[in-house]
Amino acid sequence: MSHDSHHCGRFLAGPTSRRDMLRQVAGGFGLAAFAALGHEERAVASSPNRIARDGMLPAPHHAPRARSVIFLYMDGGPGQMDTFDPKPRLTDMHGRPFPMEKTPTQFDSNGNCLGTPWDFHPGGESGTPVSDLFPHVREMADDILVVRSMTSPFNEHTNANYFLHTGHGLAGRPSMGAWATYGLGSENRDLPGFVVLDGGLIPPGGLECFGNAYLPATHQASVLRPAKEVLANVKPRESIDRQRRKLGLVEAFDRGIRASGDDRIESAIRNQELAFRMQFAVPEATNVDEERDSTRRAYGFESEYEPTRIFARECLLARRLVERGVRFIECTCPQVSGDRWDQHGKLKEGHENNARAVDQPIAALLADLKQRGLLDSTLVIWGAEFGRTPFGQGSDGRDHNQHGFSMWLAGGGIDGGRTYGSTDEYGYRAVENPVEIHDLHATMLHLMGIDHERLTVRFGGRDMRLTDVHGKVMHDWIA
Amino acid sequence: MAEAFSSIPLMRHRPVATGILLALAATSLTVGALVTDEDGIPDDAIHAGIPAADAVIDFNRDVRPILVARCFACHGPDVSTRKRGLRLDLREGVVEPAAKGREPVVVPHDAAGSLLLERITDELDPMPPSGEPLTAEEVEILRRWIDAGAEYDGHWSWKPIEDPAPPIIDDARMATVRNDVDRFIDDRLRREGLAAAGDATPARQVRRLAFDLTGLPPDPESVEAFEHDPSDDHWNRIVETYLASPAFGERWGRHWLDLVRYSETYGHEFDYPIREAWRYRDWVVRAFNQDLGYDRFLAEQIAGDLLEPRPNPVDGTNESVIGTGHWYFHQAVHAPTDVTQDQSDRIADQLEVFGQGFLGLTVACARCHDHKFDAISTRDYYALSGYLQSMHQGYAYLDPHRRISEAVTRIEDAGPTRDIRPTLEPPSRLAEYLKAAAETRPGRTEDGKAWEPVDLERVRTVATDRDLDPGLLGRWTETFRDDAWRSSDHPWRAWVLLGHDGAIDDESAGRDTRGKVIPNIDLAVDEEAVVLESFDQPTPDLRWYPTGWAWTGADDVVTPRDGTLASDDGDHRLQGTIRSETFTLDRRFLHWRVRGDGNGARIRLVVEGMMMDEFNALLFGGYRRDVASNDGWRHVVNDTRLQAGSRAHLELIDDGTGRLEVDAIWMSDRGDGRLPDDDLPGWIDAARGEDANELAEAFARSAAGSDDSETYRGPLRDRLIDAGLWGDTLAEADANRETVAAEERRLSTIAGDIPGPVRVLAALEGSGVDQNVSIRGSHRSPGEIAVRSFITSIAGEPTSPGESGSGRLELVESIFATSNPFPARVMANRAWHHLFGRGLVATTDDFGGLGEMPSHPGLLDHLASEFRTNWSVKDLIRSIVLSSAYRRSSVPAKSTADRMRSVDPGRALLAAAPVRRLQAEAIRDAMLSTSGRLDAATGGAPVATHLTPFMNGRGRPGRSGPLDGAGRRSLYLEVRRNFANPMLAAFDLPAPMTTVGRRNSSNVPAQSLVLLNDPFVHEMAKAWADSILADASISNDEERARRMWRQAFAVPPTEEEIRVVVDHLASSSDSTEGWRDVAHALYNAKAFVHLD
Repeated sequence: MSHDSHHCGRFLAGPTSRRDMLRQVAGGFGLAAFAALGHEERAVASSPNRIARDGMLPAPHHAPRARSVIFLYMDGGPGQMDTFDPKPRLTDMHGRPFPMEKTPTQFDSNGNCLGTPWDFHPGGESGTPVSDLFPHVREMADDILVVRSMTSPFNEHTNANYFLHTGHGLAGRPSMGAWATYGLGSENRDLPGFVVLDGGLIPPGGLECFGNAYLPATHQASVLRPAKEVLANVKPRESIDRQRRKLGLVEAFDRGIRASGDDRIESAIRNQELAFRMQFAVPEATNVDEERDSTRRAYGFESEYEPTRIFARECLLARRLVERGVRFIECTCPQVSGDRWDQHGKLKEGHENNARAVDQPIAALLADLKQRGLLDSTLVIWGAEFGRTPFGQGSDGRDHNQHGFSMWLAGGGIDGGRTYGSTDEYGYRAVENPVEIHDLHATMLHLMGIDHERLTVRFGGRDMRLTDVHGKVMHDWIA
Repeated sequence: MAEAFSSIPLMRHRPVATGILLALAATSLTVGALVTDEDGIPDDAIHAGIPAADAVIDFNRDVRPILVARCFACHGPDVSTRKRGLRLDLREGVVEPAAKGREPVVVPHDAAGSLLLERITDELDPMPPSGEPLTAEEVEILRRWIDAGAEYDGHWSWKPIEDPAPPIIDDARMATVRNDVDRFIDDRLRREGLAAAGDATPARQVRRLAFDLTGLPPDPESVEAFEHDPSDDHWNRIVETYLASPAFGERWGRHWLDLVRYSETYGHEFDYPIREAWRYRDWVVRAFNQDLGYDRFLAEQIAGDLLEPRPNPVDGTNESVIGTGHWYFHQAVHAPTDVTQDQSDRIADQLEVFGQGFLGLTVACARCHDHKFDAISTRDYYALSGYLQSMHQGYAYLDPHRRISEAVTRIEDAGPTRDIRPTLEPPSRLAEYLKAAAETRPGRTEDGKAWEPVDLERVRTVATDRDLDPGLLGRWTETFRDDAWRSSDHPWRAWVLLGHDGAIDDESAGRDTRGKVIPNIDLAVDEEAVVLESFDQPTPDLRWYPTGWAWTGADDVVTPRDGTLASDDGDHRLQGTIRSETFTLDRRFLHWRVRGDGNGARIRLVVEGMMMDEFNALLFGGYRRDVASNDGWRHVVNDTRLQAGSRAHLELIDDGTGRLEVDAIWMSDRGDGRLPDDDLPGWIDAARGEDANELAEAFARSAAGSDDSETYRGPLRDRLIDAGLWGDTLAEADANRETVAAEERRLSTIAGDIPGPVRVLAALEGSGVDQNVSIRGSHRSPGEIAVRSFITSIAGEPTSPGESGSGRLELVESIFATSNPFPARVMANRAWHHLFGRGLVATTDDFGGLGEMPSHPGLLDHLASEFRTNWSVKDLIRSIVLSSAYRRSSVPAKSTADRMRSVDPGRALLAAAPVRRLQAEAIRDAMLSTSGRLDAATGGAPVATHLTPFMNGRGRPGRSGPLDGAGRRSLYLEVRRNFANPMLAAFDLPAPMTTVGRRNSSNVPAQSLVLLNDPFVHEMAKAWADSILADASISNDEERARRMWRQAFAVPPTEEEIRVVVDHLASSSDSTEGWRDVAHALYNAKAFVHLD
């Protein structure tokens, strides 16, 4: 099997030839597949025009800093002034009329200044201030770049979520993870390249946030659930012996059509073998029982709070998937009492519960990645579709605010231990170095070795890209 | 109130049509890396390379693609991004100086002396400034083009359709020619030095045809019959059978649904339902099955609500209007902060579908800037946008078997219906009964939850004392036990408050919950009021657009009566909606005074076409209100500050047996106050005086006298009559009530049975609005007015169709003018695409500058010009499937197999048939078909989505549908945007977000996982094996295998394959399980999901 005859295949040739593989199959399907487990394959597209092909591993545009991305999605929008952007002036003004001009928020029931209920303290040697909602993450402050000047064009969850995930405010564009795998392929023959770990809250907008849209179906996220069957149809419904015998029949039945010599048939055969292997690779990758007790404890597996245990499992799975070459992993929030981070009311209770669920697992993830030498090649992004207003909605709530909010990044070439940009003294609008979501996307792709302006696909008469016609790489963020 | 307005110099308000559009984001075009299409073949493979030295450089084929890809972004039609004034899309742009004192960039016939060549080959700073420099091949093409004179040519797809003579084929090659299509194909093969393969085996031909025309596998008997007689005549008969099959429309209808992003939910956060969407799906299927002319098919989708109705052959309903439903399969946002932008986003989506789906043009690219590659300006975009502003989403009413219309005719033939209530003699002692009843009123039970019984003894005593009819007083008293009286809308409420509960100033706890006699908002006069509509003129102020029957009877004319507009003129069972023209919300509050009762009476404020208030009132609370006011007038105030300056219209809806009546609609910056000179009913002042006697007198005068206008008198009187209180004695009151009831019975008898209508999602006509161009796509920067018209480069300079309607009929005319080559070419190409897996123009939805050139331009025009003679899709398909090209083997002719691999690896030239993967629906349907579980029923409401644990998120349906979709074809499975069927999605069922004329045909392990482990596939395999074993007509395993092979692949098994099966059975402990293994393995076989 020569490389160039498989231009539409998902993977280039493995270490064994197709013929060898089939010979082994005669003795029982899947033996060869087992033998191939764990091999990483990399190939370089020959064309200088760089054809991004289905699943293949094309050459990056430049040397990558990050091999994988973990996106910690804080569903609903934490308040920036409650987490990573201290605003003493707002606290001083607590209860007084909000002095700046306000643009309409979604509900437009805006009240007075609402100071944060939480204290801030410096973290690490860098002293980046972090609120008491995130005491564990605070300890990792030296690895973290806090961006305090994020902006988004939308202040409604679903539009903003589509925008955050796909660079467009409506459904129908590929998710950033899909673009990443489209541009770089997968580094693991046996696992999907784009994984969403479903903590219980699929964001508003639904699975379309993770869709492939007009990219081939292989680039859509595989949603892994923290349950017995982690991935749809990955669990055999019969004994492996019986399945192998069946696949032996399939191999015999396929001989006829293979005579047409059509590449797509060969690809389909290889996909079947990959699917067979995934039945073992996915449970293996997601088996956290293998982990040391101390590791599990560090992540929060023994927490009294169930949402913490759920997110701990997600974070640990994320690390295991990174180790196995999965390209893009998104962790979604668990259900906590008091809704996701969307505290229009009960700010204190809601933010505390949400923070409690994610703080320890996130800090453990960063530490674990670092200790294993993976943080350098793994970009971790924390954030949401927007932030919250500095003025109150009722006495203990905040409305949506897209004019200035915080996200943070760590690892993967990021220059940590500092902050970037700022909001005004009330934390309402980004005033210094405002950053758009498109810029975040451009920078993320850049760190992965991709020029966001050159990663395009023709659809609907246009050359589409994740950053549309926008986006600038934030070179200031990079170490 | 009817008279009240006539003499007042109130500010009359005329709706203002302003063009308001905003781009979500500049969706511009970028030109980047070469991208492979679904087959893995670079899009332009057929045109790659430099034409031979002796060949003429063809501007469209060779030069334009280079200019488009590398130059037009800065030097193209879009003036806003043009650099240095230089444009390369017109010959004047290159041969004349871009500005005074500059040199032209091209000197015809002198490439070496042309600046253009110098700049693109500059070693230090080559154009274009970003991206790779032009390749040597590209430079060479431009050099030769300039040397040949640098001639331009209009873009091929804008040129008129020609009717080229089919090429002459020499006798030696005529063996493979069956019809004119083959002449074009063979001519090209000859020029490329390729030999055509022979026919595929008969079984493969039939399988291909069956899937292509019906989406289902052929039955084994037809296959075997064709094997015995593979004559052309027999082939023709099979073609006709499939074209006539109901499954044909299901297959080709589904292709169409891809173009209009057919969906049954709106997606977004909660995935709300698009009600009645499926009726459009069935309309499409019927249209293909009836071979509805494609011109009419498109016309109905644009303006079916305005065309002469096309009757449904079964029930006579108007089919045409159903076609307009596709406009509203967009996603929908329930809480847009900027509702005008939301509207403009929706229109962009609609125009994207209209442009790409119907015309093969990326019209929506011109939303923010003139199209960078095609002759489509922003003015064209907003000219089209005006049509969509001038109509709106609604539900048309259908009348199966004309039963409603006939009832209306019967009612109207019986003469003008007149309410006889006003003619009844008013009672003279009304006030006395009221006062007496105040004394005899029952008390509350101790727990306050019910009423004490009426004290009949006391009623008798009081009646005797006052010389009243005890029976009638008893009825009065009893009536006080009706809690409905206490509702703030009830016409008698004032009386109840005083007569029953005591003084109106009583501030007891119970009083607070019941409010005041008259809402505070009506106490003052609002001098700022801007009246939109008062119905006091013979001609209403606003223009109204009725649908249904409730408001008009048989005429499309709305006639207000007595200063109000009511829905129950004919019969209260008649249903209908009336929509106002569009106005601008330029005051903070919108007021309306309405009354109504019963089921389905609603009033709705629709802002910028935002219809999601039906599901979610987050930001639009109260904009859609049921009117159940116990027939009393209700003054409703809407605070519209969040939508200030937006355009809006009102809908008055009577969708049930109730009634709705509107008195006045006005806007104001005040949230309270009644209209100037709008007198309150007389009893109001009396009620304030807290004197029961005076109130009773005033109330009686209001009901029976002439003090108040009919507006206020009617509700009081009618309620009294219907309650049996209209009279001075019980007998009189009964007689009056009976007179009215008898008249209503008489009318109802005349009307006869009136069924409810069928509702269909449809475009409804509104007032004509010409849009302003939104500069840079922003509705906050309005530019010139773009009068509604079709694309100027195709249809010429426009004139506006005016304000009386949207003007869509004129749009249809422009689209089908012979000057427009797009509809015919685009559809002819789609048919080709669906039959070969690749269009003659591979970019099926883009015939513009970024699209591809046709591989066979002559053939495309041949098909298009034939198609245009009768617009028959079936004839179009027939002409293709009767060709040898269609029937060809996928195994290339030996003589040229190697050459084919190098010059045409994607098989676009059709020397051999391309191998294609079946589409998602066909795979699932084939499993149902083979297993015997297929329910061949056609049409109807969709089968609920089967939910798996992986389908999570907001809007998840509460209940899962059946695993096997009740055996229905995949076409009939519910299409939920946020909860796509995982199996179909794995096989590339497109997410319904925009036009998809060519689906992906991916090849991914998730598909294998479905085939290996999905419970549906297991269930089908089991059912199939069991049905084979239960078939008494098959006697042995070899026969069983043959039967299954025929079902799955059409071709019979080889001896080797039979042996494999027999061996497997022998080694299986249980032969049933062994057969189930075989069935499952057959589903997993590559031949099952591929056509070869």
